[in-house]
Amino acid sequence: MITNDEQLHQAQKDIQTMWRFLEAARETHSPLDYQRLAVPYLLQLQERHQEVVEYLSRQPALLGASLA
Amino acid sequence: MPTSLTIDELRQQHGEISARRQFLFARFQTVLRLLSETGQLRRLYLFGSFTTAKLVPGDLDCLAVMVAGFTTVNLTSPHLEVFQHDTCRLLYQIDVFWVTESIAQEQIDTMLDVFSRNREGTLQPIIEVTL
Repeated sequence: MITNDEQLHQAQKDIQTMWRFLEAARETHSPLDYQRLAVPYLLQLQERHQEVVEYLSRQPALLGASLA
Repeated sequence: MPTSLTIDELRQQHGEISARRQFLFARFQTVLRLLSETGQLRRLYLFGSFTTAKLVPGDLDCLAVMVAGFTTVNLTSPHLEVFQHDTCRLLYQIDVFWVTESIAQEQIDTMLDVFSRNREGTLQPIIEVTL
């Protein structure tokens, strides 16, 4: 769970890393191999993205209240 | 920078202290054997809670780097299953991330950097298993 802006920025960086990794893997592996290898990375990407969405859906004041 | 451990060192440092760790380590040994039997495993990294001091890790995460040109097309059970994430997780409770060396080393290094932190941003060890 992302609880501050520093973690938000790290999550965004991680998402970009995974996105670039998958883009490169898609170009260098056969369609079947890519389909098989991509699954865990895509799940990670989805989880991190969801965390970003959840964090950005709350205003800072609400965030502080929910953590108190 | 990953720490290198032999399989025996890994068992001594991370695979014995709790029943859960013993269970995961035994499954990992099977997965490692299947990966090795392809003859195409170049490097293997462990990351996530198993490499920490957590007494009861939920699962075990690893990244297998296969030689360039490796393909799963001609694999059959049980070797194929370690390259199919959902099946592998069901059978062994191990998340196997894999890729071949046909991808740039820089891409692998940046993924290892992602894997070196937990959700809160705290650094977690990455262990390279000596093959």
